[in-house]
Formats: sequence, structure tokens, C-alpha cells
Amino acid sequence: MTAAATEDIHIDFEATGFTYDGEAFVLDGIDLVVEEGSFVCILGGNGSGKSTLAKHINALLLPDEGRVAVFGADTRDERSVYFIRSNAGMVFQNPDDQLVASLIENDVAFGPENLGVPTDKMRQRVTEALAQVGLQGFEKRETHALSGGQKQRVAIAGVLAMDPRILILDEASAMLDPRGRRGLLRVCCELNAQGMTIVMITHFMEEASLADRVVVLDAGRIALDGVPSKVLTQTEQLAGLNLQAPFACRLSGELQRRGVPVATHVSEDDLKEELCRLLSKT
Amino acid sequence: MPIAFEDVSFSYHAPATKKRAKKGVSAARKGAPPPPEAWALKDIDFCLEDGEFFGIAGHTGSGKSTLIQHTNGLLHPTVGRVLVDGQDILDKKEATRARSKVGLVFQYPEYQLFAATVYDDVAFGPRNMGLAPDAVDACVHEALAQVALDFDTVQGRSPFELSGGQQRRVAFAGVLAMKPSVLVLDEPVAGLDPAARRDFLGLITGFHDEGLTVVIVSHNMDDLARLCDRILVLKEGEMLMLGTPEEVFSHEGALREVGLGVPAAQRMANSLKGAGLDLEGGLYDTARLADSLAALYHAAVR
Repeated sequence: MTAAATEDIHIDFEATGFTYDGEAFVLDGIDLVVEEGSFVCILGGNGSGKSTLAKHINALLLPDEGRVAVFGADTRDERSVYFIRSNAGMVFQNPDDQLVASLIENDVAFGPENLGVPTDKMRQRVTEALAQVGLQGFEKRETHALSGGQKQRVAIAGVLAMDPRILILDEASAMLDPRGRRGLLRVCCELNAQGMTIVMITHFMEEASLADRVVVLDAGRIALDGVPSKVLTQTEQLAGLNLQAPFACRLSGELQRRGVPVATHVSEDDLKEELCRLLSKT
Repeated sequence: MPIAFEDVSFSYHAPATKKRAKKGVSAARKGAPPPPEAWALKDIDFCLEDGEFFGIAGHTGSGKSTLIQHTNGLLHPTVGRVLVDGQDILDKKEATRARSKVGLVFQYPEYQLFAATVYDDVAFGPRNMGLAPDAVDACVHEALAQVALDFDTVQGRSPFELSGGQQRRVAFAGVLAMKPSVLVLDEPVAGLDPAARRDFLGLITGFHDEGLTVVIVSHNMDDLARLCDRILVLKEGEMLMLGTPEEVFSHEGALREVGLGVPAAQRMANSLKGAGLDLEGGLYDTARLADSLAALYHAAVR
């Protein structure tokens, strides 16, 4: 363990600016601190800078302005890059782009193998990582025969085998069916409960409602930032940012417009409970 | 131009043979039948009617993509027939005709852009059909207008310089330039933000209003409920349900079993009904549910 690894602050963006072409700033003065063990959801319309921001966390992109520090280490410091990447793992959108081996155990072992982890320890790590994503006993299966959701979980296992402390998901559920999406989300929640810091980039509001913090980007700036019940209930602002509030919020709003005195809920279960209380008096 | 599936089964292990194609008959294939688990499609039997807005739902691997590739002869049934306009498209000539009439837009179609300019990309299909340069030009103009792209702004640019949403529009235009009468779209709004989804679904509704038959594959039950006349739900290659949104979404349990769901408003309505609230049957969207709940509330406080 390095001294930096004991820091509570995992990710620290300071006035970060980034441009691909030297003109348009895709990130424009981002100040963002993510603490250990949090589950942060990054939302924003297409082109708002979400993925660009994610790629700064593990030094796939480096800031043109300001700085990004991960575990206290500056991402621009070449000596830190290795340390940062082995501690901040990333899963991307397309399941078919990320698997490198035909056998699942080889795929999951790819990262630790490159780190020079001894064989015994590696086997153990692969077994543990597969268990963490709910794919126990899948070692000898072939990757091509998996569903999209399973492939994404293998990709996560590959990251977990590196024993990282931050897991970044860049629209990792965008290409999955509803069941695959629910499975992926469950895995993220479990990992977070075990202490993993999760940064999730998504368009799906129902996913965001499970995070403990939601950050909304607009044109490379932070437009909204707070707990889901504060951010996701701002139906009109969200619409202005090309997003749509979760269903429960929209229904709450429609009811309020019709004179039904309900609070604005993020969770469908909470809204249901209030409606039952309100209406079962008949 | 109706497309009829007649007891279609398909296995990637036993695709239709050339010989069969030559004879133009759809007899079952000789030799041992493929093992039961190998059927990607099994006993698919329905007819896509003219002018319909038709939805297809199903979990990953349920056969959705395999099915839509049968609509214009990219794949041929192992058993059964696909008739486009009454003609079996196992016949090569008919398949070619079907291909010019049934436009297929695959998932993430922007990955398939290839030409140096937007113009050349959209013109590829019409040129391949052997149209004269004037006619090709007219097709490209019209197709770009249909997807709300400004011809002069984009035609000379490389498609790869455009934003993701614009790239997808160009890909749509490439298919529309073939002047299809049926448009089949596989997850047309996957990966787009809610505002872009709305724009694209608006475009697609516009194509339908202009008279195109539209088939849309989607995981989004809200979209399917709002847009479609009928919905086909596939389960492991077989037809689980076929009916109006109201019929299909009345089976929440069965849909959940196959990893799908029902539209959010319907889910909430069912759950409130389960809790004893007096809601009528039928399909709910957000506005109708709010209306019904408000009526209950105002009746209660009166």
C-alpha cells in the first residue's frame, strides 16, 4: 500500500477542462469530489461529456486544464498511471468489444496475469471474481455462448480480478435487455455494499435512483448534483437537459396537476404506498 | 405489401439449401432434424399487414434478430415459408425484389457507415439498383429530408465527423433512399438520450404516417405500448404472445417470466389494483393512470 492509498478521497476533479480538438471544451471546469465507498451516477444527454469525464478517472484521457487526482495521485504523472489503472477499473458499453479470450477463466485472468500474479493466487482471484458477479462455476465455459448481460458480468469480473477500489461503468447496460440490466445493477449494488466505489454513467433514470448521489452534466459542466430524491425530482430542469425524470416523479407531477396532494417520489414503491394510504379511505 | 410467415422454423445448423432454393419448394430438409435446442425460430406463424406499426419484444437470444432477417430473405427458413406480397422469397428473384421493398435497419446502424461522404453513403443503395445519376440525386435529397438533415450542410461531409445522432440519421437515410414500403428497425433508439429517443421515434412515426409499414424491435415496453398496433413477444424462438398492446400487457406475470415487463404506468396500475384500489381494466399510460387516480381521490374527498 502506498501512502496515497489511505486517502478517503478517491477521485478529485479540480477545475478540469478537456478538449478533443483544441476548440470546443467537452469538459469545462469540472469540480467534483467522490468519496470512498460512494455510488455515484453520472447523467447527461448525448454529448454532455459523461464518457469523457469517466475516461479521466483512470487516465485514459488527461485534462487540458486543472487536474484530476485519484487516490491523491495526479493522473498526468506517468509514474502514477499504473497504480491508478490497477485501482480504477472500467467496463464499457459493448459486451462484444471487451472480452479477449474464448474461455471465461482466461478472460478474467487476463488482467492479473499481466500484473504477474502467481498462478495459485490467480486461480483464487478468478474464482472469487466470478462468484462476486454471480457466475460461480463458469470458469470453463466459452465466452461466445454467453448472453450480453453475462458478458458484461464477465467484463466486470475481469476488472474485479485486478482487485480495484473503484469500478467505473460507462453505459455498460445500454445494450442489455431488461433482465440483463437488472442483473448488472444488482451486482453493482452488492459490490457497493462491500465497500467498492461505483461510478456509473447511464441514461436510465431507474438506475440512477439507486445511487446515493446523482451528478447531471450539461455541455461539460455540472448542472445538478445531489441525492436522487433531490435531483431526479426536478422534472422540468431534467427535461431541459434532454433527460426524463423517473416514472414515479412524472406520475407524482401529473397527480399534483390534477389536485391530488402527493409528494414527488423517486421510488415507485414509495408513491404506491402513499397512494394506497390516500385512496383506501374510501 | 403483406409479409406472411407460414410455420417458419429456422436453425443456424441447418439453413435452407441451394437445392431447395433452386426448386423453389419449401419441403422440410432431408436428413436428421437439428436437435430441439438448436432451433433459433420455431413455428412462427403470423402475417404482417399493410400499414401496420408492429412491435417485436423478447429477451436477448429470443430470436428477434433472426426473425427480422427473414423478412427480406437475408435468412431463409429451414422449415416453412416466408411470403412477401404472396410470393415465396426462397426464390432468388423474389428475394431480390423483397430486398428493395423491405428496408432493414440494424442495431447501431451508424457502425455500418462506410463511404467518404454522406452523399455517397446514402447514394450507395440507389446506385446499386442501377438508377441514373439524376434519379440517385433525387433519392438522396429526399432521404436526407426525411431524416431532417440539411442536404447542403451534410452532403459533402464525412459521416464520421458527425455526431452519433446525426450518423444514425444518415444510416436511416441510406435505407430510406431505397424507397422501401416496409421499414424494419432493430432497436432504433438504443444508446440515445431521452430527447434524441423522442426525436427518432417521432421520425419513425412520421414514416408510418406517410404510409410505410413499420416493424420495430425494442426492449422498451413504454415505447411499444404507445406506438404499436400489435406486438409479438418471442420466447426462445417461439411465439409467446401476439396481440394489441392492451392484450399483451395484460399478462404481466408471463412477461416477467421471460425477463420483460410491462410499461411503467401499467405496472403501477396493476400493483395498485393488487393493493385493493378500484381501478378499471385496460391499458394504462401515465396520463390515463393519473386521470383515474385523481377521479378516485376527488370522489373520496367529496
